[in-house]
Amino acid sequence: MAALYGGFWLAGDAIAGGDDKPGKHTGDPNIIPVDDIKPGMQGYALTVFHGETPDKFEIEVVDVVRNYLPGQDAVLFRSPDPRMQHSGIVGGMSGSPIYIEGKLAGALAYGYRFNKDPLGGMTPIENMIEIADLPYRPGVLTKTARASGREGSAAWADQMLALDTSPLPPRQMPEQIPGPNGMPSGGLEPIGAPMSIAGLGPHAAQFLADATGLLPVRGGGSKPSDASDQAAASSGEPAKGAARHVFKPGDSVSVVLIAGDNGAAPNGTVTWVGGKNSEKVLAFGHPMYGEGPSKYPIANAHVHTILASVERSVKLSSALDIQGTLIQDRQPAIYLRTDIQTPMIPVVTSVTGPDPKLGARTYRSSVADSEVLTPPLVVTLMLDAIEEAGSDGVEVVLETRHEILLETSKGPRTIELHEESYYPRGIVRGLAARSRALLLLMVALDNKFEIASIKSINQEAMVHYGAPVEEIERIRVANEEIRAGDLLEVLVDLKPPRGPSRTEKITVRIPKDAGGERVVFELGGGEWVTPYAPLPGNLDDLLDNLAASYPARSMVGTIYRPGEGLATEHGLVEALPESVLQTLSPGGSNRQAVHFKQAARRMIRTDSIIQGDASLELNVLPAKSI
Amino acid sequence: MSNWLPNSLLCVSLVLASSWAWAGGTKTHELDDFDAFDDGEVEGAAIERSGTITRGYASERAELEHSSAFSCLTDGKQAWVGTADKATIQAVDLRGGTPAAKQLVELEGVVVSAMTRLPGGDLIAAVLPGGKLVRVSKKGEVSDFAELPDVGQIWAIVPHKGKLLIGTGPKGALWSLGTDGKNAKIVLDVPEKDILSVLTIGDEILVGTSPKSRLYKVDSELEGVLLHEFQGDEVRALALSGTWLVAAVNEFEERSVSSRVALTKQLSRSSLTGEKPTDNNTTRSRANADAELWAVDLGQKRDLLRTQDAAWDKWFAKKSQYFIDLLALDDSGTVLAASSEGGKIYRARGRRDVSVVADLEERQATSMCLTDAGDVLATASDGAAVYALSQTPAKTARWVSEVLDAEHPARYGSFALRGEGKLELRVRTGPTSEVDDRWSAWKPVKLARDNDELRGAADIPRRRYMQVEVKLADADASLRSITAFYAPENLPPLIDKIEISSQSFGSDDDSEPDADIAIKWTVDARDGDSLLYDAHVRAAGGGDDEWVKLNTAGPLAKSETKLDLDTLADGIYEVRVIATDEPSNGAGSARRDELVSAPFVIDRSRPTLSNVTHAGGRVTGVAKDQGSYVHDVAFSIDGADFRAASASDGLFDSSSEKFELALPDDLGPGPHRVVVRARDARGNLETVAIKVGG
Repeated sequence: MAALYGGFWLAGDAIAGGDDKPGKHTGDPNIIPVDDIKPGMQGYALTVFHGETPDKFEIEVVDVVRNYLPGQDAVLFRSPDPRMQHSGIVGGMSGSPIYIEGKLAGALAYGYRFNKDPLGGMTPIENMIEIADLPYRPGVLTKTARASGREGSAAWADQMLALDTSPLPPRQMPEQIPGPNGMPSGGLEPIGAPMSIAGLGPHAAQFLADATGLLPVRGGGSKPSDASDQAAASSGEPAKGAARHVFKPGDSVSVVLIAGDNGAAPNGTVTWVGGKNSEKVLAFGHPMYGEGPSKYPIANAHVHTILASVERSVKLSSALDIQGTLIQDRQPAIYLRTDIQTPMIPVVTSVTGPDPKLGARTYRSSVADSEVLTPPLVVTLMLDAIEEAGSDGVEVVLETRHEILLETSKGPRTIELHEESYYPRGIVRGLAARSRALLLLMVALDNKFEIASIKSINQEAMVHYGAPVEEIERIRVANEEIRAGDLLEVLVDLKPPRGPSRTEKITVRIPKDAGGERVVFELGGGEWVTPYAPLPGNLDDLLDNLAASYPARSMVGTIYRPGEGLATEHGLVEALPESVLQTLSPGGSNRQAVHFKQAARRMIRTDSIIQGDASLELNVLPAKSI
Repeated sequence: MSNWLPNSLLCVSLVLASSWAWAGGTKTHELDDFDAFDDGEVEGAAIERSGTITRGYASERAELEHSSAFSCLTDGKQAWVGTADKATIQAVDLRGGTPAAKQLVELEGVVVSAMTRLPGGDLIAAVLPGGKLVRVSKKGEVSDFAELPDVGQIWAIVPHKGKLLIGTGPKGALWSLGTDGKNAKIVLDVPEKDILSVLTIGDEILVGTSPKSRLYKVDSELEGVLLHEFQGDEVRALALSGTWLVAAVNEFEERSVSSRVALTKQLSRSSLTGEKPTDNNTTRSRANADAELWAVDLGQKRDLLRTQDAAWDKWFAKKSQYFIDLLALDDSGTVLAASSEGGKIYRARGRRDVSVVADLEERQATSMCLTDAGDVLATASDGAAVYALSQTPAKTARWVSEVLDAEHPARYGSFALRGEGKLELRVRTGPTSEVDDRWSAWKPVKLARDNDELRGAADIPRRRYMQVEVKLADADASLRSITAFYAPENLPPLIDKIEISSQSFGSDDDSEPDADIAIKWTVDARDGDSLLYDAHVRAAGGGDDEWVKLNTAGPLAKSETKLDLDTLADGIYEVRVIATDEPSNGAGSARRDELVSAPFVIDRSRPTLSNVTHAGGRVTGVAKDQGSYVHDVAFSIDGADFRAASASDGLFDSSSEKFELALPDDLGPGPHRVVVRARDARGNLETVAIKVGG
């Protein structure tokens, strides 16, 4: 789970300062400073092996590694406990408190893959406690170091809209991600938090793993009956009454990314609890993403069992109820507060499968509010619903509708999207690369104007078998001569995936003032033509531009002319006299003016989804005077 | 010897800002006419059409925090400037010499494209895009004034007889509007898209259009009267000075529709990500446009119909730029033209009296207004600023040349200036065509009178690029020409290869190949120098003293010569070519290169024929060759065409071949003469005749 620790080097910088070694030297008699820890000392650790109650296991100090991380030592230990001898260091044990001579020494935090011995590394408690003084900063924007490594919404827009200006790096699986600063994975490394997932199919889980950089572990997700050992994925609502949980060292704790009918929650262990009402909680002993200020919901968790593995054993767990918020994600630990609640974003996902005998299904979930993770979390839910509706790899048409309620500085607004796409070999791989809803969410949370607040999302998917799709095979002009002001008659040969082509005639009006010009007529499927739009002056403009599109079941005919206009934040200024256009496009700046070709465009609705495009160059004769 | 004359010298009269070469490697930059001076920059100086730099307008500048100033308006004492990027109106205080600009208001739009002032003092402004006019009070309060339907752009607002005339696009309409913003109506509707310029002359109204550069007069009929059509794309501005009507006409290179893919992607990317494209290379090529100033004398009665049939004079034309505004400076035919390049403002007083009177720091001069004091308020774009230009001569004046290119690192000699009064010269050199930190500092050149010239030299670094600055140091100073002498680093020529044609022949040839073979070589002078050549030949592997010169009559000017094979014994030879750039650099500085060819064979020995006998209708024999191999054997009977014989072993592939040929069965009775011919691989022939029959 190398992907987990991306960025934690930066977190170290944030707390290092002055000449003193980082760490809070409290003088607390219940804490043993790292300087007092010697090889051969013995102690014990607390963690949940099953259920919700921590168990002890013995440890023995092997050595102390000075400056293992910037300003942070590491204590190597070995466990003689038979359970640990069998499983090795376990993912999900991150944060398990270690006591030496009856005093808290730190958190189990590091292990290594393919371990033959239960040899682990401990983060000293003094480094961890230091971050328990940091405040909640919900306004700070964070950039999660995700596995995909993509840079901002602009790069996504390039890819999704086929703009070809900034190609994306190839996607990587979590295990392919190198370590911090490009270092190869290997040796002692953060154990990481296995992401317990519930109610997600394999493709959705893989997409989520790719998007979050976390290793998914199926944790089950059915609603609890009355069995005390069968916990449910969290509802996403803060716990009340009896569901409130007071954390204690060794408890299992999860960071909740998805809750409700579906679940996704990285899991670890509580190290330290403080505050008057035990509201301060330190866990993990290493960062989750190293984001610094964070605002993810956290939940108490139930451990079903430990899955022993040669490579890396993990706890199989389920998040229970929301108990507070992860407010700091730092090199030595994550810092949780049970007196701070952060809202999740409700997402209702409905899906209607291609087979009418299987009725429509609706899933009610919530996702974490994160500038980076919210969009892929929402898409994960959509993918999961689609995956359930029909197996992947089948020729289908996917129709989606999104209703996204969000708030910008101009107030609340609802954005409705209707998309329809043909997938010749299954949806899952293609959806994330083509979803305008995903792009819109990403842009709403990552743009140069402001960060929108996503309030709720309703998403609906309808999967249809079949291939009501045709490709533009050839176009040719029917007119004997082409004159300004005339209707241009174009014969379009359309080819379905199987069977013979058919020919359809469409017409587009040649502009009256185009006489003498050499123009290009271009015909494209609606899904692949982007409407002309002015430069956005604010986020609402940008969202409007993104939401605008032509229906997939249409052809868009465009007559491009030599003249150019100027795109501005105040609109598209068309057909400018050349001297004005050039004067308004100053060259003494690195910010270039955006020109566009004068165009006359007509959208023609079709019964089928139209793919492909074709173009012709035409010489337009002047209009006849009589 | 004309071949020695450098090409650049031959064509010097065709070059404007000329660089040309003297014999012996010395070249000069010669700057002595209007265009050469106009390629540089002036500050407080004027460039007269006659090719003289004199003192120009004094100017005071105020910078605006916008990317472009686009339009201006003055009431004589105060001015207002409309800006682009952010559509603001800047109030400009002209009192005190230096203009002081203060933002009056920011309007919704891209650019304040036109303004006028109502009698009460409020401004009426138009903003792109749209057909909306707003009223702006002195305090900057904005209120709606009027909105013209179907109007996308407003280009001009001109008060006329108690109404406002408004030139618009894209429907090519001239509107009339009351000063209360009411009673809007179209008074002229032309086929062109835009009415860019509006000029009133007495009661008459003239407009200039785009994209055809036409001049119309408003008439009782809505379509008006077409007065004149210029060759070009737009009549950008009109002015009347005295009896002269002047039109600024621009013609642009037509854009190609092929850029649609890139532009559409760029628009999509910018509109869907909010990120404008960036380009760190901010240097921009000049406009693909031609600008022309046309004028016609309307006569004392200001007869507009003269524009239809009287001769229009082309007062002035400039390449790679366009004119943006015109301003009548007086009543005697003087106008100023604002240019899109170099921030230049030209003054024209007829066809032969054109000068640059101002060179704004910014790239474009965009609009001009006249103040009560007769000064000119000018606005600039590409870096926005407003200038107050006084018609009194500037206190200081200087001219800086464009960067001059010696094509190679050069040693600079003396500088010769011709002109009047006190002139001061500074020079600097550098390695790049754009001046940057790697350039040397300005170095003063001490000038001394030498006949009618001022001459001097400076110790400046040997670099490829050089720039000169001349300061007019007293009130009477003027500059007519400057000559800079330099000697570029002489690069040796480079001979690439030598090609020697082989002795070629055809199988049907009945004669031996020519005794001459061609020797050709390709050579790169690398620095434009003229070259001469020597060619030598020797037996392959011979000593240096064995070269025999082929061009005994003198150096070769062409990169080829011929070798007479009959002057050499058979054997293997090689050719050496020596190239020198002495014609351009003199014997002392000449550089040379030499190249020896690959060895080649000279074989003029004929093959031999032996044992040629006839028996039983067949002729047999042996053909041999010493220098190569037997190529073919043929025979001729009684003088008829030669026919091929066969090698006994079926192949002609060695230096000794037996052959045989069968005489035709229908060979008639009596004696016949059979000629047998052998040919070697280089075309040498040998024949033997025998008699058969009889």
